[in-house]
This record gives sequence, structure tokens and C-alpha cells, in this order.
Amino acid sequence: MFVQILIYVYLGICAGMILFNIATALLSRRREHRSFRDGIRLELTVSRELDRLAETGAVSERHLRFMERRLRRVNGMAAFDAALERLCVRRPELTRSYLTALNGVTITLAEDYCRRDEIEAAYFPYIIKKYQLLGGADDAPLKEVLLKLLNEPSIYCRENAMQALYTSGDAQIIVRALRIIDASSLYYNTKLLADGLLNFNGDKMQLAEALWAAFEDFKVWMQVMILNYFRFSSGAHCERVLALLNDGARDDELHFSCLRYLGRYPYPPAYADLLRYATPSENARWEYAAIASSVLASYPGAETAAVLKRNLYHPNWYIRFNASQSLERLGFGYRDLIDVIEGNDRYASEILRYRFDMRALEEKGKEAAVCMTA
Amino acid sequence: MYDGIKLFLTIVGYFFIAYLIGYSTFLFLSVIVGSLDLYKRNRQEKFKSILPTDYYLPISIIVPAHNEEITVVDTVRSLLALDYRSYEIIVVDDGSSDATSEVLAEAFDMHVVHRPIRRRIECRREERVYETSAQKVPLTLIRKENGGKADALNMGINASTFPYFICMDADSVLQYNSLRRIAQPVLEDGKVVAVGGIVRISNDVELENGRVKRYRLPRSILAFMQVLEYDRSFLASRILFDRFNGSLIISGAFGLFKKDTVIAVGGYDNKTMGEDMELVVKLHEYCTINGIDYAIRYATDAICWTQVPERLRDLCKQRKRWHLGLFQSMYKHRIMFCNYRLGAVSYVSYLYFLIYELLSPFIEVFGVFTMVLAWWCDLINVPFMLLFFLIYAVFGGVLTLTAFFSRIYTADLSVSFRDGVKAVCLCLFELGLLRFILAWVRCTAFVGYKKKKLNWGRIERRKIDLK
Repeated sequence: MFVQILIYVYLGICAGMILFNIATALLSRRREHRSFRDGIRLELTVSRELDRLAETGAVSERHLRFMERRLRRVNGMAAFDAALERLCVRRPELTRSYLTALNGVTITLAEDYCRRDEIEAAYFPYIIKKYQLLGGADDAPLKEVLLKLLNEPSIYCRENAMQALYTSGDAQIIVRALRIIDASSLYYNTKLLADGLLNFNGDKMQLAEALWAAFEDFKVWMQVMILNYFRFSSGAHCERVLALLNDGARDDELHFSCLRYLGRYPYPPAYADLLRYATPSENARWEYAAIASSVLASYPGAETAAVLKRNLYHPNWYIRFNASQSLERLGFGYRDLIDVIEGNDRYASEILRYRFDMRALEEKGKEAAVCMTA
Repeated sequence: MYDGIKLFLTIVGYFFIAYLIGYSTFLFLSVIVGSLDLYKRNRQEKFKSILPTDYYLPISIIVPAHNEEITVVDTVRSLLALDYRSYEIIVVDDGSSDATSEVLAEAFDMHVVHRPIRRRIECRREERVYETSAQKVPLTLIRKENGGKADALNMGINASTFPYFICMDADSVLQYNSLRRIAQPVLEDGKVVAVGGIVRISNDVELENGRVKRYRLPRSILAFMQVLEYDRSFLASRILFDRFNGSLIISGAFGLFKKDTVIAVGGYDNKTMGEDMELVVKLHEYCTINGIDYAIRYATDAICWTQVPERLRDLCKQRKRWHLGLFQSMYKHRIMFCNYRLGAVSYVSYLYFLIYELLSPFIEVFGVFTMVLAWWCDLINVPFMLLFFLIYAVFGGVLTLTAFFSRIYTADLSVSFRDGVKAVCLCLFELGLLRFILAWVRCTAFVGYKKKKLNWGRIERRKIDLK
């Protein structure tokens, strides 16, 4: 009896799965066809409204109500996206004005989408970002909704919201967003944030000032992220960065970030400190000497050469490796370093030989490229 | 005597009912969860729940090679065409007896350099290191003493410069966007120490610059059946395991790892044949014992194309190797058996692999013998047995087809009507015939085990159609 029941259960599951497969096949085909057709229809409707906008300078109330109803469905939003993509190419200026006129609808929809499942909630800020719907005077409610999305567990939702906020050009809203992320226990990759800040649409100096003003309120990981962003955006912060580097109470990670910044933007007043950090010490983490050895490639000088040469003999691989790389970048040749190459320290000699091999390869590559061009 | 046999067969009968209920429940759950996950990801893609494409995690790609002079140049060429900004390629020639190093050096204008390699993990000595500056990303070739695939991978890890590395086979091709996709879980979650990519079968698929130009299912029946098997057993079950951080295998053909964690566990074990599984099991054990909050993820949209054997002999050789590797890994990490500290990894994943992977061939072959015994003693209802088998095969077949079609629909691929019909027919053959052949092969995997210890387990492959 038990086995028979089991067999019936299996058969039932089989029938269910077959139906599931057939239904999926039919639905997926229908959905594709339907979404394409919807996109075309919506394009026609919006296109007619663009004509009207060109003639009368306004979008009809009826159309706005229609769009509000239509865009409540995520598939309607996808069709709208497809239609806009084409219209932005064909009639860019009118489409821009049309989107501005649609602002009220967007704000109404924002609250609604914010309450949806994570995929639909993430799609809304994507549309905001794609068509740059932020930036007007009356978009404060929209920004509030985007800030709310930063508490969602889905990283896609949070990242799309941040991407939309970057387009606002509002430095204060970015700082508010970063405060929310900083206070949250949800993981946010620093690289995503640092690279994302580079997409900020507004005044970069204003953003930098806003970030410095709030700097002390952030946790260390966020401070490191901000310094990393500065490293890729501007060399205007050397003085503040040097002050942070010399503040002994700061976290090591923050100091490492400061060192890297000063490597990218050479700042002569920092030279003495960099030499000090490049000198390995038992009381400090080895990373200081390793990073500083790399950074010194941007600070040519006799003292630099002496410190780097000494670091070639250091037992730590990274210190040795970075010192050799910096010496090579500073243009030192085989003859300048013959005492190390022919010396007794095999590790120091090997690492330098490798550097010179690589230089030779690069030169060969350049020559080949010149020959090819000629 | 007769009563004894009767009692024995009754006990065996109950055992098999429990065994089959367990397996079919697992199969059902994995296919349902796997299919729903694929549809969810498809929806995410449609509604742009993806991280922007201009973020990059620097990655070292390690390609261990042994006697790969025919395929290695094409493999490296396909890697150079990847749509990714920050990566390096390290090919490790594990003492090939053919001209693997020479063809590679010549094809990519590589020259010998005196590069010191820091040994953070034990591996055999390098003989020569070649580098080039003529390519869009750093390309390194290390020619080393023969030590096996694990040893070659360890050398690659030692030579890599980036914090994450990818291991892959020298005869596989990564899809153009695979690096971006496999790096995504790391950007999503800072706890991720390893990510498995999906391995798809490339037999008869046309690829151009890492893109599928024409998708068709393999002409070879054996390869076709493996497509079905991969979708059901590998794709679906790994998605299920991924739900509770319970993946025990990341294919050696395509996986991403956090270098520091791999170095902390001692890298790949060159005494194990299934070094890919062993590493993942070791990562679970290491992170749990040391109280490290970690995650091992599976990226179903990070695709690597690989060829599967088209000859039964090659397939048997491959499965023997896999089975031995499974045994070695499970035996070495037997501490994971019913260990409460490891939670679901121990009670679900390890137990599943023990019962339904490691012991299943023995159980299935034993089942066939008891059936013969029962028939001989006239203790079996043959029509009922056949009906039961038929229903079981249909059940497995339907689930296989569900996994197969879910994958096809969600990956924007299409199959011809003929291939669809072929899939329906072959799914029954795969379960009713190939599965039993492979069960026997896996039973006999231990014959000659010592002799095979460190060889590369070669199987005959065709050149991949890269256009």
C-alpha cells in the first residue's frame, strides 16, 4: 500500500513538472512577444505626446494618468524603458522635456516601487539613473525614496539607488547617503562606493568639501573609502592627507591609504615622513615600509636611493619587491646597482635582475611597435 | 536458508525504499530550487539587478597545462579576448613532454626572465619563467618540473600578483563576460572566499571571441547525455547547496578563490586526485574551525565552456578519476562527518556526497545483485518491479528535462525541435542505462588506484571551434 502511494506521489510530481515545463515554454514565448509589442505601442503613444508637447508645450493630463497606470506594472516600466531608448536617439530634446513633465508621475511611482520585491525595487532607481530624472528643484521626495532604498538588503537595490543619487549632482545628499551606509550593518564593497563617487555629476570640489566636513563622523572603513576616492579624483588634498598620516591616533589602514595618496600626487613636504615610513621598524607593521617603498618612486633623490637600496636586503618579500620596482622606475640601471647585483644577497640580486629583464622586454616591445608603425 | 534469504531481501527492500525516497526528494528539491533560482536570475537580469559593469576586481587566471601544445595557444588567445580590465594570465607548464612551452612562447612573443617566485605554498621548482609585454594584460609562462595538476596550480598561486585567482583547464574556454560574473559575488558579499562558475559542454558549440555564435547540442549521444546529467546533477544540486553555503565542489575547470585564504589552508593538495573538491572541503573545515565568517558561492551566470568525452572509454576514465578524488577528499576530511560545528555542510552536503555520490555505485550495483537473487528465489513480483523502475525512470527523466529546459530558457539559448525530442528520449536512457554503466565503472575505480596517483588523467579531445 505504502509503495503504491509513493508511486502515485511520484506520478503526481511528474505530471506537475510536465505541466510546469509546458506552461513555462508557452509563457516565455508569449512574454517575449508581448513585451516587444508593448514597447512598440508605448513608443507610438509617447511619440504622439511628444508631438503634442512640441505644439502646445505641455503634456495632457489624460496621458499622465495613463502613464501612471501603465508604469505601475513592472513590465509596463520595461516597455517604457525600451520605448525611451529609441526616442532618446530620435528626438533627444523633446524626450528630455517630456521626462521633466512626467516628474509628478515619477514621484508617485517611487513610493510604490519602494515597497515592491527587491528586483522591482532595484529597477526603479535604475530607470532614474538611466534617464537622469534627478536634478530638478522639486525632486526632494524622489531623493528621500532613494535614500530609503539604501536600507534594503539587496546590494543591487542599494547600488542602483546610489547610482541614481550620483546623477543628482547634490553633494549633501551623497554625504547623507554615505552616512546611512556607514550606519548600516549591511556589507557594501568599498570599491563600488569609491568608483561610484567618480560618477558624481555635480561640482567635484563641493563634494570633496562636504566629504571632508563629515570625515570625522564616519567609521574607519568609510574614511579609507573616501581617501581612495580622493586618490582617483584629485590631487588637491595633499595637505590634509599629510596631516592624517602624521596623526598617530589614526588607524593603520587609514595611514596606508594616505601613503598611497601621496604616492600618486607627489607632495614635497611629505618627503621626510615618507623616508621615515620606508625605514622598516620593529614597532610598525611591515606594510608601512612596503607601501612607502613603492610610493618613493615618485620622489627621486639621493636619500630615496639609499633607503630603497637598503630595503632591497630586507627579509620581507614585499618590501624588497617594491623597493626594486621603485628603483627601476626611478631609472636606475645595471651599473648603478652593480654592487647589489653582484653582491652576496641572492634575493636582492634576483629581484633586481628581474626588474632589468622586464625593462628590456618593455623597450623591445616599444621598438617593435615603432617598427610596425614605420 | 530460504527464510534467511527472505528476511535479508525484506531488509534490503526497506533500505532501498528509504534510499530512493531520499534520493528522489533531493533530486526534486534541487531541480525545483535550481529552476526557480535560474528564473529569478533571469528576471534580475531583465530588470537590471546587476552591478554596473565598470567595477573590477583584479584577478589572476591560472592555467595549468600538461602536454597541451594543440590547445594551449587557442586557450590563451580566448583569455586575452575577455571583456575585463584588470587581470593577468599565468600558464604553468607542468613538465610537458611535448612543445607546450615553446609554442606558447613563440605565439605570444614571450622571453625568458629571471623572475624570483615567492614560495608561499609548497610546489616543485620552476625551470624557466617567460614573460611578455606585447599583450594587453600581463602574460606569464612558468615551465616547471612535473608534479601534477595540484602542484602546477600551487605554482600559479605563488606567482600570482592579485588577491583573487581563477583556476581553469587548459582546454576550456571562458565566456567573454565570465570574469565579471564570477567576481560579482565577491563585490556583493565581503565574506566570500570562493565562487564556483558553471561548466557548460562545448562539444559542437560554435564560439567566437568567447561568445556563442551558434548553440547546438552535441551530435554524439554520449556527450548529449552528459549535457542532461550536468544540468540535473551539477547545476541544480549546486544551486541547492549554495542556498545554505554547503557547496563541496567547485569545478577545477572554473572557480575563483581568495588567495590569502587558500594559502592559509596550504593550497591544493598534490596527493589527492580530486584537488578541486579537496580544496573546497578544506576551506569549509578551516573557516569553521577558526571561527571565520565565510561564504562559498556559486555563480550560475559565470560560464566556462569545456569538452566532455565522446568515447565511453574516456568517460569511464574520467569518472574513475572523479570517484577516486571524491573518496580521497571525503576520507581525508572525515572529521566533517556528522560534525555539529559544521552544521548543514556536515549533515546535508557531506552526508549527501557520502551516501549518494561515494557509496551510491556500490549501493546500486548491490541492488542489481539482490534483484537477481530475489528473482532466482522467486521472491520478486517482476511486473511490479518493472513498473516501479519505469516510474522511477520517468520521474528522474522529467526532473532532468525540467533542469535542462530551465537552463535553456533562462540562458537565452534555443534548441531545435529535433534536439528537444532527442533530449526527451535520451533522458530515460541516461537514467536507465548510462547511470548503471557509470555506477559499475565507479565501483571499479579503486582497481589500480596507487598507480594513477599523480598522472594528469588525459582524455581525447577535439580542438575547440573558436573561429
